Amino acid sequence: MKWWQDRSGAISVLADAGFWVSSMYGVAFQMRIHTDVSNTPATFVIDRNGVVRWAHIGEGERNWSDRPKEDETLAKVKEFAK
Amino acid sequence: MMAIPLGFLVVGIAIFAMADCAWGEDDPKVILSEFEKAWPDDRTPWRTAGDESWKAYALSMRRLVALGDRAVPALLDGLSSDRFQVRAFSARVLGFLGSEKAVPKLVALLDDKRPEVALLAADALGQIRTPDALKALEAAKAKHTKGDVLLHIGRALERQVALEEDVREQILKISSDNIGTAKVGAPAPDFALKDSAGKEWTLSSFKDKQMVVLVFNYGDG
Repeated sequence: MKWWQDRSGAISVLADAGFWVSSMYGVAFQMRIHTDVSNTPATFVIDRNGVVRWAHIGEGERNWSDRPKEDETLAKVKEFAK
Repeated sequence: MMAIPLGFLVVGIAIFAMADCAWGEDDPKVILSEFEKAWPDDRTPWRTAGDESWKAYALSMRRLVALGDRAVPALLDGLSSDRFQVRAFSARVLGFLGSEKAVPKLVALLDDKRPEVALLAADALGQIRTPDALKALEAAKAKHTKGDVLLHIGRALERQVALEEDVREQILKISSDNIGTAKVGAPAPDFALKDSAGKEWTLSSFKDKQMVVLVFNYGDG
């Protein structure tokens, strides 16, 4: 968490109220949050060429908690930064 | 001699089949019944491998929003469906359409026995925002003391504005050509979305400059 907190302001929070981007990325309407249907949590690493290099999409009954650790995401960023 | 009438017959059937197909594309009742089949009440509410029914949810929503006012009568019927998923989905789409005609029925659904329906009715009333809608939300807030429905009623009342036009435009960008197209090894589907300060961010503007980590979170409360 500290890594994210140190960079607060560098991280933008965008609203996808029309489910457009979550639909294109294949994560919309796949999780029950309380009693509503929402996107499943997901992380995509996109390289400088605009190509998706790694993705982790929450699956299963506990998909709300199926998220990569920050270290894992950072390692993928470093791997594909080369 | 037989070849001519037979040819006519075949062409006739082909035209009928095409007309039938085109009508199905446009008929809000057909779209809603397709949704009903793809999204049963007992559907597993989480992502499982190979389950693509979520695409039917997104595409049915997009097709109905694209029809605008023409979709409203079928959606009003949908609010009376004995299937709670159809009531909930119809409420969501009517909210996106900003349908003032739907307000009385949506107000009644604030007391639906299924919270899935009541909370989407609250969302829709918050988006439609007529004086009647807001009055009903205030009354419902006093009645509910806890739970998800109250949460959504509170959020609906806190909204400062009705549904923004750009949200409707984003829904119309969902298509069978771009749905679920993000794949490892393939170009990331481009988009532009606004942050809470109203600043627009475009994914492709980072190309050749820096990497992007795209995290999909979800609203919880």
